[in-house]
Amino acid sequence: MKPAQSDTDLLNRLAAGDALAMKAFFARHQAKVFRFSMRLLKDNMAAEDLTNEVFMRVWQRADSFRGQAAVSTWLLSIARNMALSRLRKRSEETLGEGQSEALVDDADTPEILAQKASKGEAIKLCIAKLSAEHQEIIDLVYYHEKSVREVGEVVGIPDATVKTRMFYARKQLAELMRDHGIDRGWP
Amino acid sequence: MTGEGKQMDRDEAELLLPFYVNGTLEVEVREEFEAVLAKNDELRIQLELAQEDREFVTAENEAITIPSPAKFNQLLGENTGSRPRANPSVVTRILTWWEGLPPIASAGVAVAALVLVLLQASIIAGGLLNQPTGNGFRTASGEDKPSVTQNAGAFAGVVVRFADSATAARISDLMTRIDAEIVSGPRAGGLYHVKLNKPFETAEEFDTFIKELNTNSTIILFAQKAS
Repeated sequence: MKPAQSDTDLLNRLAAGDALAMKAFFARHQAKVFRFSMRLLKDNMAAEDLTNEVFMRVWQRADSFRGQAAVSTWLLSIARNMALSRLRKRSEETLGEGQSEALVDDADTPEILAQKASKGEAIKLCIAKLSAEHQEIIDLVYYHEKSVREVGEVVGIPDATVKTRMFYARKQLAELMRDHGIDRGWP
Repeated sequence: MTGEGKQMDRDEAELLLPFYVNGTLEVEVREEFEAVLAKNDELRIQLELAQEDREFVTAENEAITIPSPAKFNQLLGENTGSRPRANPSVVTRILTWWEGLPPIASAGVAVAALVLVLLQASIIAGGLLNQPTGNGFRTASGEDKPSVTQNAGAFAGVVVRFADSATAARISDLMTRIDAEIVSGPRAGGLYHVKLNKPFETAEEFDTFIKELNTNSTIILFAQKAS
């Protein structure tokens, strides 16, 4: 069986204009970049557009990859920078429809929440109530499986800040869960 | 040790807990974490919560439907023709090549390595790689060119010493992949002059290239800019 090509090999090929390699690279990384973009933009269409732009930038500038970070970390950094740029542009606008849908109804009492949501659903709702910074770091650590250093590279903060931010994100999540009637024994 | 010259305490373990859960702690730090964990009930509770949170976050992400690649493929098709066809950077080519190298064989091939060193020297001297003629070198077409140190691009000359275990085939492979050629050597200390056929445009790129050459000792013991 032919072994899968490494990311660096694919980058090498697409830097030389190999569209097939670009498609393979896209297929390999699209899901994580799209889901990260969704976390940041909270809008399906915007996240798809952003993801496509990230990979088009890679297509145009593949030779800018220096190998100082994992390819996935590099891609998430590009996605984050582009997403923040978009968010800044619309910062003066009122919340878009996609964002409104993502927010949790604060009128939910613990009882209502318990009735309509499983524990997993409750965690999901409470994560949606966290600040954008806390949502982002939880996503990077738990889903994208990034190390302290890699999170720092994507977000642009020192290692010590990565650790404390993640700690407060976890603590805030646990407190929100308790407020919604699910006491998990910590903090 | 936590990397800061002190034993891990409970507070530090609490901060590192999510990175233990996602498996990104280095072995030494992970072992320290586990030692603290074994003595702390509350930390074990936090660990269970973090594992639970991670499962939910992962499931939540994986439930997000990924768009079809059709739109991207269309964009790609529209931009393929107009795209500037950049050559892959030399650094990328080196990284690719390093990745493809098999693990270093050690004690078992010591004798073979010695033979290969002799073979390498004889093959290089014998003209597998371009030999200098006078102060210059000869291209594949047989045309004499001046020495790299005389008038090649400012960021095109490198002095290297090859590792004892480097075979002629590997050296030749490296020269092909980085689009370079040996133009003279060996000189005192086993040094060879290497010329890059596509000189770097900036000192920064050239420094990065030299650094990459120095990161893998299976072929090159050290590399530096040619003076």
